[in-house]
Amino acid sequence: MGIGITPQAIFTFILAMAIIMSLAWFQARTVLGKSIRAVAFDKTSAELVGINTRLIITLSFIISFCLSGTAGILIAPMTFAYAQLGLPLGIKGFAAVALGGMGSGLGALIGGLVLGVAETLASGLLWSGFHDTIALMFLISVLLLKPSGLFGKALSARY
Amino acid sequence: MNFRRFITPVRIVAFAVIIVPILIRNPYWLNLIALLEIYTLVSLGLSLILGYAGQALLGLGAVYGIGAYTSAILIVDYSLPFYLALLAAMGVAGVVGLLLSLISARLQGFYLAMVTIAFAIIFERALVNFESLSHGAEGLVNIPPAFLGSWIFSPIEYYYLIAAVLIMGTWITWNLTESDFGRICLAMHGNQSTAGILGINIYKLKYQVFFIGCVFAGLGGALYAHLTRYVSPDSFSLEISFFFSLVVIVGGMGSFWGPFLGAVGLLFLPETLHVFQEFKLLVYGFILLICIVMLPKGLVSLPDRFRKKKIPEASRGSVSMEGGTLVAPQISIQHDREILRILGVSKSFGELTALNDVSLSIKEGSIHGLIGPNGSGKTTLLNTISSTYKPDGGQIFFKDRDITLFRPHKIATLGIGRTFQNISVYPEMNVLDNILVGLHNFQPTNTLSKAFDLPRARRHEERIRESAQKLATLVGLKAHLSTPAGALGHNHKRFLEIARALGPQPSLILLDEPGAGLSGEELLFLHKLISHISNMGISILLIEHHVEFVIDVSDFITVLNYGVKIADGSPAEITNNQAVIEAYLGIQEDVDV
Repeated sequence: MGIGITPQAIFTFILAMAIIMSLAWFQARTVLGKSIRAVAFDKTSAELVGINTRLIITLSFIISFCLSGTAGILIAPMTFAYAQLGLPLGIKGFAAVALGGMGSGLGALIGGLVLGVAETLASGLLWSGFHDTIALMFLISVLLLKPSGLFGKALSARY
Repeated sequence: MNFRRFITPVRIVAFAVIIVPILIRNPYWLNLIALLEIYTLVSLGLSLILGYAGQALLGLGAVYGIGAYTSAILIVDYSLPFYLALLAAMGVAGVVGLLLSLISARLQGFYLAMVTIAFAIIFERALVNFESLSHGAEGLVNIPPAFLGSWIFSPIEYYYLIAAVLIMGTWITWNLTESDFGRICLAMHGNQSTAGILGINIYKLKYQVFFIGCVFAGLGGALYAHLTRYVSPDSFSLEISFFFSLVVIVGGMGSFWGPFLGAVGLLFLPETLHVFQEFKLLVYGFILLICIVMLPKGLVSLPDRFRKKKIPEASRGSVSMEGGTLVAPQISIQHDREILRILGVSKSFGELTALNDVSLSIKEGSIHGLIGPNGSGKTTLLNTISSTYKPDGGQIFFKDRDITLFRPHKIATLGIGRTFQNISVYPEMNVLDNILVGLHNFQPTNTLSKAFDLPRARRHEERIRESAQKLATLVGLKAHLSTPAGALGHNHKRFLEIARALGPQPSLILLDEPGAGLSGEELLFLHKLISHISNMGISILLIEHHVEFVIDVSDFITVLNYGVKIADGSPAEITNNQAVIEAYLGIQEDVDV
């Protein structure tokens, strides 16, 4: 079935991996990264231990937007840029996170990878008309089988 | 005639939509207002699902499209009569709603939003690709206007048909949201697991609310198809889904008027101001932003911003000690019979063993104290009884019935009420509504009779309102009926929880630290209240850290430590038990000064 790989794709892949790994390091090892996780987990208690939550939230937006921008730079040469580019990409990003499980960096990575491969294989092998949707059908089935995503942990209520 | 009483919201809507064609003759405007009414109908449906029940359905546009296509295809390709096509569209949309409710039973919040968005995208793709059924990307272009037999509706007649449907939809929505259907939807929205423990059947409520909401959407879609007389996949892209969600959010979640205001604000304003038409999406985004920043509760809260802030009646200070008495049907009790029997229940969380082979039995009509140090597993035991947790081993019998694997609402319905250590009242609802949530299951009526405001539903509402007032009086909250529970003092919230749990007249009530944070005087009142509950024939399982209090009030006491039962017996036996003294009560030593 012949799957071609261009040097551009390899470069993009390596760069993406580098960014993801530095992000994982940042979140796991630095005080700032840990603060972001603390705020995500429980804003009030984060505030109580002296974390400037507003600053942290602003910061996480900045990081997130920088990453999205970089992703845009990387993907533009491989597809093409048009005015409505954002929504489908945004939804796929959303889907990758949901698939991997919220709050799991590695989960998002694997979610994105699984989603991309499923999409490409499905449109190549099955039905090109449903290119975008096969990934989404896949997402629906995975979430129905494992509601918290592939790597998310189920939370239970406490009284 | 009482004028104020004559003006009901449904009559306001009816008057507004009926008078429009008399004031406006321009066909373009009439058409636009008909469209506005269809959008409002769909938004009313979404408001039930998203605004009231809090289910993140963001892909309702697909259901709307399914309604439109079902009706259009049946009329164009199968030449069905118009009214049958309309009914079919509602039916198909309702079935889709049931399927979506199955998804929502499994997925919550973000994940549900994601899946419903995916569903909307897949639907649009399917429309383009299944050409034999959907006529592909071109869509159906030759949809006839609405007809009945040989009579073809003129635009103005069709307008009135849409108006009539909207009035009907408004009436049903009003009935549902004003009855306890709306209340339990908001309760599920507020806290799903608490709602379950209070006896609300979450899954049943979800399928009902999705069914009703989606039937509204399907009907709206079918009406739309015959208004524009043209449907194509473009009309049912993700954008329309987002539009409906925006209408509900901008209008105000969980409020009756929200969808009306949202639809007018989002469709009508951009359309009216011609300059903005080209930038419709931009205008939507702007309105949403303004709303979220300045009016988090939506357009319905706009008047409140200009009104002088009325601080809700603060309920500081102690509980009114007068209380009241509740004359409840005396349950005939046999004191030697066990009402609850727990057999060797165990529960671990990872490495931590919270309960290890705990057995205890509660005699009918008794007050059974459960004490032990922090983390000894008392609340976990309560959670396994009310089925928030499934035990890893062991069985629980209630009135000789194995309830170990029952769902929480079923356990509540059987007659076990409870309060929560971490207070779990609904802060946005007032005291009366909080109690009413607990009462919804008491001699209930079905949702259909609530939707059509049948006498049966009215009687139920009257009955539970009366009981709720009595319960509020019993626990000393009579003066605060209309205070939002969030504004109550901590002590009042504790008593509110007891009133809520007593509503459905349980035969066993589980009180989880009802005395925590109460003053000495309030503890006396609690003592009186517990004795009163006991005199009504209700058995009580009481967790409490005020040991003297428990010893004073209980007939029988069980002591837990590290998830193991270390003793049980009468209060006198417990106070002299060596193991209990070491683990919990502490040893009184003579200290030389």
